[in-house]
Amino acid sequence: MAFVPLGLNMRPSPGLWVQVMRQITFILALWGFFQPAWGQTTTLSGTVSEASTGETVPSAMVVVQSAAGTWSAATNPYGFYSLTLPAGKSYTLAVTMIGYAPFALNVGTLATARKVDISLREEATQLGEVEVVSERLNSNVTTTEMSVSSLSAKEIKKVPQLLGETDIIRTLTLLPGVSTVGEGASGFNVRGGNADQNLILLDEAPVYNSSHLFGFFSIFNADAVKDVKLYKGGMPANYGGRLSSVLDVRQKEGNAQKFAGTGGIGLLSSRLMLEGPIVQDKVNFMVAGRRSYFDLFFPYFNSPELDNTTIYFYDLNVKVNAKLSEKDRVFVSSYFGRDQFGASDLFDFGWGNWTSTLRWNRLISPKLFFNATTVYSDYTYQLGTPKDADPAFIWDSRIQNYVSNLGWTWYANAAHTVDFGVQNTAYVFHPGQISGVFSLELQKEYATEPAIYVSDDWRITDVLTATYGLRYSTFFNVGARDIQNYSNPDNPTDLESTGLTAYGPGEIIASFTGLAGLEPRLALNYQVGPKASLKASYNRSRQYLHLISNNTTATPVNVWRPAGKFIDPATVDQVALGWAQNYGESGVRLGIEVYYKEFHDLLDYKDGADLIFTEYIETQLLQGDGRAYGAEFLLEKKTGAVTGWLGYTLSRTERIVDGGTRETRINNGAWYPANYDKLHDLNLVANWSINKAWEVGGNFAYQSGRPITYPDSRAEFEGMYFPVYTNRNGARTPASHRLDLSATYTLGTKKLKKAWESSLAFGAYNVYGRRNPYSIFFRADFSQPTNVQAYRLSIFGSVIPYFTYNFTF
Amino acid sequence: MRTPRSLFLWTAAASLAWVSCQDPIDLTLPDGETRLIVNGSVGDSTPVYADLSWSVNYLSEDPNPAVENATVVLFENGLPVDTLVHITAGHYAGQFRATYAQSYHIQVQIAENGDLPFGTWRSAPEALGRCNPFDSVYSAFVPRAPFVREGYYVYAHWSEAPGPGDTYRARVWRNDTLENAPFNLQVFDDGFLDGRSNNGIDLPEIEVAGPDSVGVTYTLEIGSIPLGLFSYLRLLREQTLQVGGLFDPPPAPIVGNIYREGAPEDYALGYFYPSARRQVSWTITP
Repeated sequence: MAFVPLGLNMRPSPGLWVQVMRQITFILALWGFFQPAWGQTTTLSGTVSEASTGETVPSAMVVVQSAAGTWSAATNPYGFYSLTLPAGKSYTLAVTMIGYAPFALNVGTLATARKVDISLREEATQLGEVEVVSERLNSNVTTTEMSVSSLSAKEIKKVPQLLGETDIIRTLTLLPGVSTVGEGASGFNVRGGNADQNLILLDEAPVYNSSHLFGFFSIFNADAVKDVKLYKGGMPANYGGRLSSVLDVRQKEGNAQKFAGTGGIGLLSSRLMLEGPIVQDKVNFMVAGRRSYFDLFFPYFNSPELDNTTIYFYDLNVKVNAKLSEKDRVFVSSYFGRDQFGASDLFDFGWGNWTSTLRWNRLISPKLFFNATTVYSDYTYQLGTPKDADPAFIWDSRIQNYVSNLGWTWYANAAHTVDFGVQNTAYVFHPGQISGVFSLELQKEYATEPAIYVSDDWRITDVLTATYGLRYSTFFNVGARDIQNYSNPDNPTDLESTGLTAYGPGEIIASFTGLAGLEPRLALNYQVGPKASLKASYNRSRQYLHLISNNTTATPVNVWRPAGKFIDPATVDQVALGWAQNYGESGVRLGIEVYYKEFHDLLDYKDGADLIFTEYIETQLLQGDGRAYGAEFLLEKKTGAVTGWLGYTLSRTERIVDGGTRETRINNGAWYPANYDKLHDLNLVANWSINKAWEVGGNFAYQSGRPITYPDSRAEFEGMYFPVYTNRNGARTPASHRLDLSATYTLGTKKLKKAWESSLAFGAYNVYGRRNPYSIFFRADFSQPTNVQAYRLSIFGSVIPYFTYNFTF
Repeated sequence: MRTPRSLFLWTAAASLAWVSCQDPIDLTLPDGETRLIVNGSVGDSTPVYADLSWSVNYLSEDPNPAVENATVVLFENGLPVDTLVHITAGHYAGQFRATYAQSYHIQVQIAENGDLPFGTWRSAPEALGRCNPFDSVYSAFVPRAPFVREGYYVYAHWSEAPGPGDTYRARVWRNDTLENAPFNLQVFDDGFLDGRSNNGIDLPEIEVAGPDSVGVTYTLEIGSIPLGLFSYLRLLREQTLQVGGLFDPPPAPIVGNIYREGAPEDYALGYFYPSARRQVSWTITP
């Protein structure tokens, strides 16, 4: 082994930073658990919930003070908190959360463990109100969390939306580090990650297609959603399986106090959410439904084609939770959504998600919280003719997940909160089955992904905190399945097939169990003052599933395939450095983060890859690496009559595929920009509560052009001209920008108390009708093939107004 | 029958059409590297030919310049069997016809001539596949129905040869004019129809054309093609028709089977292939 001295003038490469952060994580892991334990302590624990509905409140800041000092903790996703405190002291407790009135309680002398459940009142925003409670605004400074965006359903509903349909994912794309390929594209990209690198969880159930109407709307009904958290980096160790982000969406639990409802009637769809107690203070429910209905107007167009055309989507959210005892709570939730397109006896096309979650929370002791979750998730699509057509042709595809999670949170002492758990996800992939005029079925694939994790939230000093942890994931691709062998396994092609190997049920085809499955996580927070902190994080993530799609944006008919004999799992290392700063008492926050990511074994596709109904998909694939780096700025105002944010991202995302031969290289093995690489991304979102009746909002979005590929020259084949491409993503579209405006008028504000409250929301998307380029392409006049014209494709070609009537009771 | 891919694209396009728009724009593209283009074929019923030209700027309104100073030789199983003669404007022709299961390639030599590429290029050897003759052809009147236009349609019956691995290209002439736009490119393999018959009983008949008028003559040709050309034409169709949209694949180089001798990474454009072609014609009658 050669020894290379480190020169003084040597600058560490990004790869070296990754190594350094990895070592820091390891050292902290060893150190943290050997810290001295406290002497005489006791515990203050409980649950924070909303007074009007009984909904638990996650991420609320609980602060306990005594003459001996101050202790704080955030509630977990189930609203639970626990603090270990010196016994025999007198304490006051304060709970703060943006959007809720501050809560304070004199706990008195704490001799033994005590449980204090807290109800927070929703805060009515008053014009000119002065915010005085600073703790609630400083949670961004005190927490180790970085690269995390939290939005409540209430905040999301204030943002002007396309056709008035509140869209969680579209709103997320207005935050720094989150973007899409273009307007109307399904999915989203986080810090240079592909759309399939986002783990989208709805009540802990993975969702494989988060879009309705090919990406125009998200599947999340905002009325049924309690809170949304997006991790762009610094992922806690209990999350895994995707490289770039976790979008954790939690459904409402239902109003435990009274029967209530929320709904809306819009141009595109209508929705209704009902909630209430089934057994007072013990069992409550939430059920929400939504359906689009513009197809119902087709009969009025007097067209035989449209008479039998169906185009609609619907979804249904259900949740029941039961308080079995003071220590046990059970939740059952489900989502079912579907898009359906059909035209007479020509075709029938449908897709949708179904998720079900059963969750049990138990407070084993005031210091130990337990959560067990079992999840079933199913994404299917069917494409073909109607079933009774002659001849019939039906193509089905599906992916099923069976998830089991056991997780514990141990509030060890005032300095340490430890999360640990075991998880397993079993997958069944049905890539495709054709029935009707002929029958054919691609082989099913089976896989399982066990993982364990542990992490410690460690308050090292009053100003220095760390969250460090380790996740270890493994993956087994198992039979029954026939695997094709190749003379050159590094570049599998059908022409070099050397026969099949049959694997029996449960027999391991490929396993990924080595040290590469270790995923260290680290987040550090150094508080510079009461209103500022410096943050750093490192995380490694591994992804064993790949969405097989070489379209610019994913489609509902793309299939997921697991890592296996010829497909490696992808990994990413991310380091980030951040600064959080709050200003005054007005709720103004500044967040600045820089990040660098290295991706390995990302999937790409051979030129002209055929991905539809291909049994041995490895013959169409390439694997390469990637890198993404950038800086994000977020200036936000969370309270007061005017709220909103200004976000800006400066970033680069690049890929490299160099398999050694022309067929296995892209752009001759050089780095090239990813489809969604955009240098500048600026978003301004603002909302103004003018008075009790009127509220107006607007957002302006600007993005640099995205990469596209122009032809280098023209060739011909037997009289047909075609473009010659040699430089993928070598050009760019012009920049995009757009302004959206909204106004909400609340009806009957002069009445003091109403059983029925309603409002009118109206506005416009793309107010100045900008035709933003989604792509630029060329089309030949086939009667004169040398006559070629360049075109700009805009997804939204004009201003799109909306009007919605909303109500609550 | 519509393929699953086209069904999906049709659906997606229909749903997006109500909001999206396409505007013509002015654009200038730089000149890329000039490359040789070689297209040719040898059949069991048609003699060998090759068309040679140079690539040009994509937005050029002129045809691709012809290569007229080349030496083109056909090889069977690695042995030279015919030297093609330059006829006109880059079109070279010979007399040789192919034999089933034999392997063919051509060699193109171009002498130095200014800044244009020169040297020797070869096509990858490809074997002549098999193709059954047509069973029958006829026309029929179809009344109006949702998504079906009323009129006379021409149909053909044809049976695929038993045994997997066959790939084909179909071409149609209307009154002796080849329908030759990219959307006319029709290639298929026997993955779903190995040894089966498009006779209206086992599988639906082949819809050749329609609706059209009485008296119009249609000719349908099905020819065996190598697997490489099957992929090449499918890519060519995709890259000329599915461009720029939300669900379209990324632009990709369309590389055939012509490479510079001794440097397989240095490719020319176009494709040379053997093909067994079968034709049938029908004039629409009431």
